[in-house]
Amino acid sequence: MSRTRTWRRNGAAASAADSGQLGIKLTDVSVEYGSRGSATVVRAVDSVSFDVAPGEFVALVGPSGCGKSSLLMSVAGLTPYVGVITTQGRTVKGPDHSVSQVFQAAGLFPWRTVSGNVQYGLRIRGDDRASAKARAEEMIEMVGLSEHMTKYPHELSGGMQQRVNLARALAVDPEILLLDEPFAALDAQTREDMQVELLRIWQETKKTTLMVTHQIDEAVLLADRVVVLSRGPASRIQDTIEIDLPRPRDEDVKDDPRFVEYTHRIDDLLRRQRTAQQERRTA
Amino acid sequence: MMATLTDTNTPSGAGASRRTPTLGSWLLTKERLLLGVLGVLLLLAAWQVCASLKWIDPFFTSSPKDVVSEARIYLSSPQARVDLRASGKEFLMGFAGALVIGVPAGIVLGWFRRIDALIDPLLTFFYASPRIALTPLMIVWFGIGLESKSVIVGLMAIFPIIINMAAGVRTVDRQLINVGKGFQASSLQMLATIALPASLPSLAAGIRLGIGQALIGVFVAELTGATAGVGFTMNQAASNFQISLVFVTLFVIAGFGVVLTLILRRIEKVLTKWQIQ
Repeated sequence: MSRTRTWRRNGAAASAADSGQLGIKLTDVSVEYGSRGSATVVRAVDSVSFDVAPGEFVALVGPSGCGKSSLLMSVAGLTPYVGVITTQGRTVKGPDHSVSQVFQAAGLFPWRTVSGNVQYGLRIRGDDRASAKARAEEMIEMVGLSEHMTKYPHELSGGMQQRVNLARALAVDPEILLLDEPFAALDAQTREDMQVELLRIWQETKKTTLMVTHQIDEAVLLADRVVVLSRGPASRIQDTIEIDLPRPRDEDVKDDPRFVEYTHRIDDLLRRQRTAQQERRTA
Repeated sequence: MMATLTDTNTPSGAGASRRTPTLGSWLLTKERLLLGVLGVLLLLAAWQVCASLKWIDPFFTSSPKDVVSEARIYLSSPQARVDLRASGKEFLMGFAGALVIGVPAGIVLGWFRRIDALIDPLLTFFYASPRIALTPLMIVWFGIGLESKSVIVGLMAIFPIIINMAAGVRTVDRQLINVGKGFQASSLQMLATIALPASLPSLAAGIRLGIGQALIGVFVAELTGATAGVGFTMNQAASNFQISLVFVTLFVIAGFGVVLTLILRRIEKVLTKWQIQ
């Protein structure tokens, strides 16, 4: 209920923003949370504005608890917010057909096979069985799981599950892809493999992508731009860093001196957050 | 275990023991089952010995031998056919009613938070109260025929079905709901593609509990105003001190429950093969 109320409140400002600008646009967006009916409301994100241009990959990093995931959920239309968010020029009032999400937990349906899971979004929107199946096969091949088409999720490793999740998100051919720490639950080796895999897939599909991560090297490897949020509550954008590394990239880009420089810079920004916090606490 | 170990150590027996399983290893793999059977046999033997040696009075306790011969007589009699038909009808009608009403009711309670809040106190009250005590009331309302007996059976079976179904729907993983929302599934689509498959194991547990409760219902319903039925015959036999027949009918009812549970488990296995074994 609180969700609809928030969106309705934004109605007037929203129609003005329905200007037809593609990609993702956030204008003075705040995200609050508090338990239903309770008086205490915590403002997680305070009045944040940034854009993700069509075909751009933007990473959102920040200290843990800064509300970056909440912000992403708001863009996905799954969490209420204050301010204006548009995706593909439309104000976000709920989940949109042009947007797909990949969350940290793979969230696969345990009763559906790999193919069944990838077909899910297609079947929901009304595609017929045959074309959904063909499209799913194509997607599963893209993520390299053709041999596991008829397996159930519990028969797959964590990395494979996340591949299926990615295939399911891309099957509906969204304009926008939202990634919420998609590899955080994986072991280091699998995570690195998956980062390279995502890089390859993104370069093939060129989806407008907004990704939340706490892995700085992951952000620099994948993104065109890294938005650094300050420590929450009421976190704001601390800095935005253009990642000027040549595309197409592969894992060798990590040896580039500029890659190291970028990661150090972002690391410094986050470190400064932590010391500022400690000084405030001791003062 | 010891035998197998020494076998593999000696060069001559090594190959053979690996290819053909020894009697010892076969016994080990079936250990649980065999011990279970042994437990039953021991109890029957003890019963027979006690009755034969007159340590207990066979007039009141019967004996396995007498029960078997009584079973032969009863099960081939026309009375058995009439009883099974009557009890079977009560069970089927009552249980079908419990399913037809209980499953949708459970879905509604699990899916709509407000309706759940509205109904929950009533549900808890009826679930906690001894519903069997409503038998006289059901007879007043529905007469002494098949209707009242089916209603009693249904009343017994419906609560575990509703409660488990609702719990299954209510506790669907939030992550999966968000996936459905993300793909803009309608409420009905979410129910059909997420909530229902996810709560299937929970429903199966409810049905299994419901079978047991329904069988109690069959027996109790036949205590009052019945003219046929396995429970009716059991009650009659007890009043006439036909103890062997009491045991025969007891085994018929219990056997019925066991067979139904086994069938259900088979169906459950096929429907939920996606679960981690």
